[in-house]
Amino acid sequence: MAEREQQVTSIFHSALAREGTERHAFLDGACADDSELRREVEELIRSHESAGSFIASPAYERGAALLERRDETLIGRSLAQYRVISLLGAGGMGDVYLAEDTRLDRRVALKILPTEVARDVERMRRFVREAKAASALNHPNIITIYEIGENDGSQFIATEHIAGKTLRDLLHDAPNSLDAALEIAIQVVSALDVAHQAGIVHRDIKPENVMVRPDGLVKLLDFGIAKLTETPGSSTDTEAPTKAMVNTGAGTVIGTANYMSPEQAKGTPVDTRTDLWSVGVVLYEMIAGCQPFSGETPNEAISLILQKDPPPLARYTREVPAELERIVTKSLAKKREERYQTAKDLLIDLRSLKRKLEVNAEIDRTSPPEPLLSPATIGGQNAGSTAGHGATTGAASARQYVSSAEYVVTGIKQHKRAVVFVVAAILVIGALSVGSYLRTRPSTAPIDSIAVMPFENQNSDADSEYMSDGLTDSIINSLTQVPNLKVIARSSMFRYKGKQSDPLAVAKELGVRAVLTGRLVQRGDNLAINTELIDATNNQQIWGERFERKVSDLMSVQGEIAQEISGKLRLKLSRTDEQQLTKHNTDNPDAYQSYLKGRFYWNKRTYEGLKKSIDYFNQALENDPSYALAYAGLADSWFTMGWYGATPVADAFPRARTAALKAIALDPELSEPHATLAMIKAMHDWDWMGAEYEFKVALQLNPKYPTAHQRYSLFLPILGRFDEALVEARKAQELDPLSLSINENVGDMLRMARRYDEAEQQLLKTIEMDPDFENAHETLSLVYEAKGMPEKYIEQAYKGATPEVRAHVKKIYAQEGQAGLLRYELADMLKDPTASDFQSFYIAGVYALLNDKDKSFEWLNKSVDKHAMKFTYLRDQKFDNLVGDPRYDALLKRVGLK
Amino acid sequence: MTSPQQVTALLERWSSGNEAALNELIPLVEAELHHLARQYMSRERAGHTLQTTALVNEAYLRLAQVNDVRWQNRAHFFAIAARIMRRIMIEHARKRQQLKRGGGALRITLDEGAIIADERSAELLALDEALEVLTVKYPRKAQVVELRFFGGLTNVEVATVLKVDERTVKRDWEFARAWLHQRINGDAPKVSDNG
Repeated sequence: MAEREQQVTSIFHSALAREGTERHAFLDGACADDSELRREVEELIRSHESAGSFIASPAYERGAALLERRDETLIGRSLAQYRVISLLGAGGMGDVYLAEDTRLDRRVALKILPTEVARDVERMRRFVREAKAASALNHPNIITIYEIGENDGSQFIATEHIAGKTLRDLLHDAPNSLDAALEIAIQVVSALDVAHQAGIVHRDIKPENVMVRPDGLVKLLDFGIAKLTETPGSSTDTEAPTKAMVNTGAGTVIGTANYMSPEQAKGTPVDTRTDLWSVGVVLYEMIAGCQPFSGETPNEAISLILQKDPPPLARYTREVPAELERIVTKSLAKKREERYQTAKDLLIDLRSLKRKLEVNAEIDRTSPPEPLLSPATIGGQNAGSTAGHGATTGAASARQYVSSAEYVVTGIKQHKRAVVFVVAAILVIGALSVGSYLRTRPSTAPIDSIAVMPFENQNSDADSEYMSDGLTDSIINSLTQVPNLKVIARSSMFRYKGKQSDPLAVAKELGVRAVLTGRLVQRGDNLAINTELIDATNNQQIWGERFERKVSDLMSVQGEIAQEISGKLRLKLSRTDEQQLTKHNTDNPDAYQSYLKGRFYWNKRTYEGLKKSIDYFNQALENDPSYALAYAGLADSWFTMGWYGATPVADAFPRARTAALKAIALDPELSEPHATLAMIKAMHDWDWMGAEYEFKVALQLNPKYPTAHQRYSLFLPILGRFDEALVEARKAQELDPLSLSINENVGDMLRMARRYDEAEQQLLKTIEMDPDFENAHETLSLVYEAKGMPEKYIEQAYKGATPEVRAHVKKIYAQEGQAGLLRYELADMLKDPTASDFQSFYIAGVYALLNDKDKSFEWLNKSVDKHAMKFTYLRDQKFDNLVGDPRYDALLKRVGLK
Repeated sequence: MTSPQQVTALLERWSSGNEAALNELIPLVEAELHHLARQYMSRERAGHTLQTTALVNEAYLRLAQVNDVRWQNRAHFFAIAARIMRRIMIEHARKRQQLKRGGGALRITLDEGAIIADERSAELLALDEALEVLTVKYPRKAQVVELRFFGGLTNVEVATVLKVDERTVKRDWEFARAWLHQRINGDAPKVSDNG
């Protein structure tokens, strides 16, 4: 601080510490003869004393509200598929931007609703309903809404972009000619006529909401926006007039009082006649060049609206047809009963007036030629002959009608598309809205089953495969949340991966009504996803859509696709169902990507794959530490690692448990972690009741989760409940008919129930699905072993062995019989009894078959020691020899099964 | 993704005088504030006002994730938030002024709490300008205003950030407020009559 400033500061503070004459005396001394210093300090003191609450309360609290407004930074950025180009205007109900729809390569107007409005679900619902209804009217004079969507917490409305001017701007530029004014009014009223017939009141007709294209076509904007401004009950509020206005705005600069009808000003309910009043105001303004009711303040305007009749139009322009004066006066009747009762009535009057003027103009034109420079041909403002003026613009308006008609045609096409987009985005309305789209199609019974073909990865690079697989997965998962919809599970569908399967054939094979196919191409950070939903009964496309998104938007696309499909299937969704459908558990795109990769590798079920999946799930959690599904994935990976013997169970199972518990804590609604926890509780903790409870929870949370059924089926034999196990195995099969593991499991459960013939059939069928699926051969070999068919046993058990080994085994069997074969196998296993934690259990099995009870119990106890026992198979026929032995009971007691 | 360690390290570097660290911190903090604010607004029910203090606090906890929350760092973090808030509010106010359109229609200013209304933005812009001048003459006093007014810091917190005692903060505030008030609302600076 410079010397001077220091001086000022110090004198200021010292002076403040003194009062009255003392202060005066102090200043006299301190400033000596530096009068400027003295003046400066004195001014500061005065200012200090009069500052009141100046900047006393921090502004920063208001800053928070700005932080969530995105508009400052919006230009150049992307919102869903829209790239924001420039600001078109700002209004109370949000700012409007020009944006480019990168998906469809067209320009749109994007209105971003203020968050405080957007997050009011009830208000949004009413608004969406209204706006959609209006857009669905498909009227050339009503703006087409493409989408009402949400992106990162912002609600936006994408509408057609009208390259034109608002009537406000036109009024600003120059007064309208009589003919142009009539033409605009006619188009506005004909839009209202259609809207009113559909029961929609605009509520906010004003020049700002009327767009005029260069070709003369008028578009009425912002249907339903006024709905947003209402709070429930406000329409019947009869309090002070200002109350009605307060209710028209959650923002700052809101609504203009000048176009309000008396009923709005009074805060009483509005109806269709309210709009006709406002048309009257606009028409008045177009002709007169000023508003009929305008005061210095809103209150002044309101009192004029309620009490005063506006000056006649004739006061402002000379050539006002008496008929026009009558129309305007009737529109502006204070009492609704005295106004035009319907838009149609007003429309008829406006049109006939316009026609009359045109006829007059025609007469003028056919009358003897006028001097070249007559006022009419100069086109001066309302000067000379109004009729002549009408003639020139009359021809122009005939042209306009042609273009309007053309527009109707393209508008219909566009509209269909628009409906589709709208459906995509509206969570609130969901399936109800597709009605209008589907009504044009032959009516069919609702589709109740669907198969989602693995999305093709057209990049043909394995690195992005996780995305196509992940998208397929997510869509399948989402759709399983739809009630009354049968969805073929993942592993069944992935059997078709990479094969050029005919969707119709697949539908037939799986017994479903609809098939969804999809292709995905990635270019850099951009993704293009093409989807198609086909009705298998008639091979017709029910729905097709192309999504162009950023890689980071992948998670929202899956929700959207699932949403659209359920809509197309005409299944009504409850609010919760919809939430389920779009749930992705994380807001972090990186976390989601990693999660998808994790699931991708988990599904490979190889040691390397499992290790990678663990890495990816951990990565997902690094990005989003509260990502429940990633914990669930981690739990699955660790459990599978342990169960397959790839990692010591003492390491794997506790990790699986921790992850599962974490997932449950974060999202108690997830089924997956409960199914994993159940397995751990059973196989590791021997907490049989706890395990069954977890299974029940898992299945209650998602009865369509095939893995939960499959795992439950593996649990039930432990308690001797073989029939129930079979039921669960079959439920899993129903949900996932092509899963090899699930099909094998059905055979296995038949085997445990000792229904060996059926087991054989089922396993042969499974092998038919994929002859290379080793588990099925192994289980089948056990069936043959139990049936006492050693040759067939060898054939299946040694399927994967080399011909030499197979020949050797056959020789042993021929020479030494079954006991010899068992001893050979035992010797092989004992070469490395620690090959896996579960090896002890398999060794015990062979000893049991050899009837070496001592050894069998010895190894069984070893297996229990390690908490690595396949309890499911303790009830296997091969252990029958042990039953009745006190050591058998002791073993069961040890693990709490007796 | 920035790790909490990085943020903490940057905060420490800045509080020990490294100004470059501040430039690295600002975008990180701002992004987090935006993110949190949007999250809040989309989750909260209507009628709730977003509390800046709570917001900045959470941003701090998320970004710095320090278990032994160091008072110093926290204060510095709030100082960054103050600067960001000031910039955001001023940008917004400027935009509001630019967008103010004519058209003869009456415009009604409502709900001042939610967004800065037109006349408020004019006020803010004036304050910002005055604050710039104050910075030239009395840099620390201007900083006190920024921290208190735009950052919502208490005197004790301001004292920590500026490494002065609380009494000094109080005095700075008193002076700066009088100075700014005089500059904004007082008469135009008079030409000195006698030199």
